[in-house]
Amino acid sequence: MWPMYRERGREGEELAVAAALAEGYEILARNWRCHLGELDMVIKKGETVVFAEVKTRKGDNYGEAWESVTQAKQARIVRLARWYAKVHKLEGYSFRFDVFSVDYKGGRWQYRWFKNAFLAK
Amino acid sequence: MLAVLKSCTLTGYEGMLTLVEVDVSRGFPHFDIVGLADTAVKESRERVRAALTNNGFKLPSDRITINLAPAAIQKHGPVLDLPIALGILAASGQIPGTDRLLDTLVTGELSLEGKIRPVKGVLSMAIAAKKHGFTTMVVPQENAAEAAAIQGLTVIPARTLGDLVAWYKGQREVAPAAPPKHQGPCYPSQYDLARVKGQHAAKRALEVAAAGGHNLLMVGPPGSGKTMLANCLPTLMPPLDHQQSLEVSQIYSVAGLLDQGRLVTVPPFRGPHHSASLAGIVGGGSIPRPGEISLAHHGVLFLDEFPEFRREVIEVLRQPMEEGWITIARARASYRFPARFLLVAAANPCPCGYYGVEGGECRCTPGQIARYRSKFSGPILDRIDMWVDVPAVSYGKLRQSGYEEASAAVRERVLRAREAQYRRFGPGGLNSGMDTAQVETHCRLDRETELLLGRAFRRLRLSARAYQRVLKVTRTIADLAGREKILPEDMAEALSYRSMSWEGDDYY
Repeated sequence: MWPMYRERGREGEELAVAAALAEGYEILARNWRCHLGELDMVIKKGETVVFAEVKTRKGDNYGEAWESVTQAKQARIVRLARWYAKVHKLEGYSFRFDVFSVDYKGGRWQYRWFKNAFLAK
Repeated sequence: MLAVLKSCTLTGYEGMLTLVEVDVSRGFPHFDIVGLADTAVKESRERVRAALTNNGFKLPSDRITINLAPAAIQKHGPVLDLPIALGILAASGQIPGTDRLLDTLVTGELSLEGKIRPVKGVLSMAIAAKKHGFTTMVVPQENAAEAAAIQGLTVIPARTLGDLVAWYKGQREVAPAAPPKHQGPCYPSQYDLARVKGQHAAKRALEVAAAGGHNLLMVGPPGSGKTMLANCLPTLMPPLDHQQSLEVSQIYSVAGLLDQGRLVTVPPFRGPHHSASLAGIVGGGSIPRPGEISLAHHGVLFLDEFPEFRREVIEVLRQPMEEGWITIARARASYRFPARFLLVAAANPCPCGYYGVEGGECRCTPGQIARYRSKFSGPILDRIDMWVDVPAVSYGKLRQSGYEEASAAVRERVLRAREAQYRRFGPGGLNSGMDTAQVETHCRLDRETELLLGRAFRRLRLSARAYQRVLKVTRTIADLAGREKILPEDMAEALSYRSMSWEGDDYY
């Protein structure tokens, strides 16, 4: 990945973290990696653990960022989340999958937070 | 948490009690419906999701599993939308699981905005509800009238999901649907025997057919009034009794043909076109729907241009004509629809229609005529008790302003003749349904009548089955005259319905 893109992705994630903290979420992990891939963000509020995918995109030539979270990507995130829950022995929690879509629009960075964006099946 | 709601689905034309078990528990978010649900039921997921969120409720981001019991029987249609939505609300603690919620039978389709749409077959479901001891039932508002026809059932009409939830919580009262006002039987006003000029022989045949439930074949050139006469036949038949009315209305409810929830009170009339498919006539489809023969239950099935119907369509009528039922077998289940109808077949004397008509000129070849008439022969014709000619009406007759008897007057006589039959066979029993032993007992002939029949038997070359049929028709004619004893004149009339004007032609 080009350093330029990694930098941009980093900025988007910072924006998402700030938004989650502002809503009273606790950050459990960022960029958690295992053999299956990477989870962008794992956050928690009360008894709900949220696995969030953060997508950043500049310009809307290729659609908005959230549109790139395809079925295949969703399935990968679900697999990762199940593994994460197992490794961290998370039992008795509700789980949720969210998508942060961070786009450069109208001369500034904006985010949209899709709660419960997709199901585990 | 778990919530179990009661609802109803259709198998054939009957309602089947269906439990909707909803479990909402922690874990990875998930929404699945199990229990042999068809596509329309699976799709209710999306309708329920939209309806809940658009009405200020939450679709919990938890593991939602819905089981439809009994799980071994296929469920069809969107009728389970409403119980699924309510089950999710109860299981996720958004509404309390009160007795009101759990002891009520719930049916209804949801729109995305949370309006409750009408569904098919509510009458059958209401009957099933009563059978299973329910006292309260929630139905879409448009279906409330038909459900309310079942006595001893409190019917709550539901308009929107929001309104209904308020009712469950006891925040809002809903007046139960009032049972439909008992209105007199409503015969179609455009058909009345008084409007048919002349054709007295055919009219008399209709009267006999209506009285005894005899199947009828009318033969005549185009435009002679066969269709009009057939349409008048239901107006000669007495109104349906309560049980019959419920049976017929159930079929119409399942087919989605009930007019504003009003029950069918008069014998129905169905006249399918001769291009109709097998499934259209007998019922069918992957989710079996009642066909024309079931929609004609306790009424009249009119097959115009009878020889034009496909042979397999004609042949398939044989079983229901004997048994009064049609059984449709599918890989998963077999469905039974009632189909006790009076068959009226109409035909032209030849393909062009003018064979043997005075002043008409037939353009058919002998081969064409033979082929056309060969459709009549065989087992179906054997099941038709009465054949009658409907000749073209002359100009003079048409212009005559003579008195023509109205349907209501004929109906009076038919009713009396039927009462005699009910006394003989019990309620609903008709002369056409007599078996051999009953014919022996109830159609005793004196010597003179016996002789007449014996001569005709040889001249008309009657078969054993035809012999039985003549006796049944004779019985009906005597009943119409209000006599227990059969006279030679009754026999003479009955025999006249066994001979066709074309008989003796080389073609037949």
